[in-house]
Amino acid sequence: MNKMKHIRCALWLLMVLCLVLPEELYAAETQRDLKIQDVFTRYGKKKNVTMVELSKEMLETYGMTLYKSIVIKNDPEALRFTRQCLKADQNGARKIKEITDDGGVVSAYYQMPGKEKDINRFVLFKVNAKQVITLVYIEGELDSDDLITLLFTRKDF
Amino acid sequence: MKMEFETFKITVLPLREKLVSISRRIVEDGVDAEDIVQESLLKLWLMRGELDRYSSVEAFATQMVKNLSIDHLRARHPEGPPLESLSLDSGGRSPDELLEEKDAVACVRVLISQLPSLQQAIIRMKDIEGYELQEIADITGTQIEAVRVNLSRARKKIREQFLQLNRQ
Amino acid sequence: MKMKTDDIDKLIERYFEGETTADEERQLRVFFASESVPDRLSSYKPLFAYFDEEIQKVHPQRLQANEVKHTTKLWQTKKRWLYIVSGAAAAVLLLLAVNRVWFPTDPCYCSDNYVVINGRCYTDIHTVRAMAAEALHEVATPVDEYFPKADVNDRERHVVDDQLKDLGSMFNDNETNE
Repeated sequence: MNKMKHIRCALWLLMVLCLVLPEELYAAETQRDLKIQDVFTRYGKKKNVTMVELSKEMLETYGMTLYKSIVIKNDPEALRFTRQCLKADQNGARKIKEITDDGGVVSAYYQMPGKEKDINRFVLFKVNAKQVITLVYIEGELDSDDLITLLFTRKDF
Repeated sequence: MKMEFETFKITVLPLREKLVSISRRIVEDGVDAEDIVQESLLKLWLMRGELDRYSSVEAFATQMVKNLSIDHLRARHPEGPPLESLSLDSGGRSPDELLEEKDAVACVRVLISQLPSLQQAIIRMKDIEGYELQEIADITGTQIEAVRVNLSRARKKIREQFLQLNRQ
Repeated sequence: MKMKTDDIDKLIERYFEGETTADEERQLRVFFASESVPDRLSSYKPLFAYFDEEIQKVHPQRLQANEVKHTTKLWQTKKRWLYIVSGAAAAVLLLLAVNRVWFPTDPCYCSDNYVVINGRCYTDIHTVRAMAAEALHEVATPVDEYFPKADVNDRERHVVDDQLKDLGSMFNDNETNE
């Protein structure tokens, strides 16, 4: 009799919760497969770090669905960690271009297939003479040619 | 209580007439049948929380009334046996024995158990569960005066019997 | 609450007539459980003591002195369900909050576009874009060290040429090594 009402009420609340929860999980989902995402999560908020994320709306014209970049200054530990992550993510990559020196990778480009069809994932990495690390992660339908064009023409988003 | 009573009113109380006729067929007495159904309604009310466990409340209520009616036939005592003979509940001792042992509370328990079952049910509802007369009348589908009279009789009976034992 | 003897006698009389309310009956129980029962009324003690006992069995949380009416007991009403579910919801939300604090996926939840500089979140769109472009540009230009030092003008030209070359080969579909 009254139990039905209670069950309905409980289900309602559960439904509301379900609307909230997936937001949490979804955010992590697309990133979970690549180790490189840990660089963002670990260093994103730190001092001498600049991290950018752009939304779908802004990226539509470029054929991207996600853009994340992080610039870390003066952090040898971060460099070590990032290189580790890159190494781990190499395995799944379709294309790899790297420049290495004694210390390790100084410049890298990886392309890997995305989780969905026609979605590509790109990781671009560089560390310069001043030990500034730049890491860019891009997801989108764009292919490598599109990406080159983008980089060449220096669009300002 | 109000909300739940509304549900009870819709699901159980409409069965009243039918239940009385079922009982009457078994006990062959209109007054007894009325009492049996009132007792059943009180019992059903007290277990209202579990009623949705049963696929048919009507079937369950009918069965309850039938069982109580048959019990009534078997017992068939108009007022209760002599005080000394019955020894229920408290370890097989009679009321006067219990009183001698100074277990007066147990004695009261036995005395109550010797009352007609409807009166027992009303006492349970009033003195233990704490319902008011009007609430009991609503649940049983009777008049408040009828409940009061039954309650009064029951309480006076207990007093009478207890005082009688006490004087012995 | 002291009971006057007249009051008590009246109450008892009404009790046996079945006229007392639940509250009045509670008063009787309290009275007969107390020490101040006169001898002439002592035979009523077991009766009300019996009810006390039974009430304890049925509603164990009910206290003698200050009984709560059965209609107002929190945990016995249908509101119990609401409290349980609300409690569960609150617990889940708390977990989510904790999750965000300890396992942050994004440090900034304020907007779709954001830049975090030194741990602080900025959503000004121009800043965001500028930072994004800067990073992208940085990652696109090849490493400094691989350019030999030459005089400025030449160097500039070299830089541009080499950049283009490197870049091109870097992102080319054809697997041509530099």
